[in-house]
Amino acid sequence: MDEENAEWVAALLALSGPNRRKMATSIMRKWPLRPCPPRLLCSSARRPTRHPRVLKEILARTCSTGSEEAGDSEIKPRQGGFAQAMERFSDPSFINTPEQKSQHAPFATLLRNSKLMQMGDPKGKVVEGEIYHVVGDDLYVDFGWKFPCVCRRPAKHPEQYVRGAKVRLRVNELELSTRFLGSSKDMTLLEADCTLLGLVRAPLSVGS
Amino acid sequence: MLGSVRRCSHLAFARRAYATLVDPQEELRRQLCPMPVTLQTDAELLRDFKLKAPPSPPLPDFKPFVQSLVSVQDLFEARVHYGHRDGRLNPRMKGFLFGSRLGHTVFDLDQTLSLLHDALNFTAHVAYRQGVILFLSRHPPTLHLVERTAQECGEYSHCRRWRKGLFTNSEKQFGAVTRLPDLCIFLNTLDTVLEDHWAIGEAGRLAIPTVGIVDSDCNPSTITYPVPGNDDSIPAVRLYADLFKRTILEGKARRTKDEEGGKL
Repeated sequence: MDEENAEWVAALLALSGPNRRKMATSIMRKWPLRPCPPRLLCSSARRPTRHPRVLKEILARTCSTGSEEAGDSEIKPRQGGFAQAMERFSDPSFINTPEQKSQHAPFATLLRNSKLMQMGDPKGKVVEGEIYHVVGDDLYVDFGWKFPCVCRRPAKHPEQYVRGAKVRLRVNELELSTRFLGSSKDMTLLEADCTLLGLVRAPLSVGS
Repeated sequence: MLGSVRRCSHLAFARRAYATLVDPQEELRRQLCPMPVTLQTDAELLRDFKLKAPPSPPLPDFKPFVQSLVSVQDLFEARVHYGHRDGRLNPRMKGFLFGSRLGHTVFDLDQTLSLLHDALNFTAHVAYRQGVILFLSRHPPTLHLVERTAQECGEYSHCRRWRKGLFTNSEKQFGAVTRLPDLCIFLNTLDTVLEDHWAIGEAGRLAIPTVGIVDSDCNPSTITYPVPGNDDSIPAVRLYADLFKRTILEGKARRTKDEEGGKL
């Protein structure tokens, strides 16, 4: 017996009784496999094939590694809407960078899909920021914009407002700049104006 | 009593230097029948100069390296496209903007990217030719970052108060003969929000090329390689510092490689 046929025969033998008989007769007759319901055939061999080499490939692929591959792609419990949403939204890559797929997207696309555009009028919007610097009672919070905002440490749980803490802010102005009388250009303070709403998460080193 | 030292005048010195460089017969011919200087004659002189110039070794190409360093996505994530308010816009920066969103200007990162590539390429060439590079910035939040970057790539930085005349009057300011930088990289071209950095004007006077990150309230006209972008956010400045550091190190590495390989 040839080596080539040997593995084919071995794969054939691995099939269950009725499948094996079916496969063997069709190979010998070189007839196309009749379309059958999935439970009687290897799951990927749906389409009728004429060439025995193709048949061999199908056998090798589906029957050599066991039934894991065959079962995995087809037999999956259909999830309800909530379960699907839960899976999608708890995936960290979705939360952090929704634009990951657009690696080579043009700048116009990146801008159009950015948070700046989605936010609309920044006045009154609630954003999350991280404290990156503390000077006395002044907290310098970076919320992803060009400028940081400087807020006063609140009276409630002051020990938790340290560098690394995540806080929630309400945006009043994105840039504190205004035109003074007699000047041709605005004068700017190089910072944003936000109201500190509360703490989201203190860093792990701070006891609760 | 020692006799007074006869000091040469500038003209005599220049004349002597000139005499050693030119062919005396050519010089005589020129003095006898001077050529009128026109655009035609200038072009001819330049063409002759190019033909007579000795063939120089081919300069390395840093453009592919520089283009692989940074993309529009990197600039976007580093918040480079954020500009100031419309009221702070310098009219000369209008061409670099993508537009304005609810009163806040947004840079066109496609333009920024190509200008950044040019600036990085030039920096690499200066580093390759062993030029002295000076980093300048008057932005307090990023002061230590800039100084550390300069230290890490073996170059210099000046991020403190600039005394007028540090370039133009360097011998008096430093008390010794100084070598001025061959390139000035401004990571922030403003001194306070009201004034430009004084060193931009000084570098211009002394023909020192400058690379500068210009925000929407800056003046790009006197900067050799302006790069329009955000200069106020720490992530943006961190990106620029990292890019310039890597470019300078690459330029120096290639110089070492070429010297060892015998190309120079």
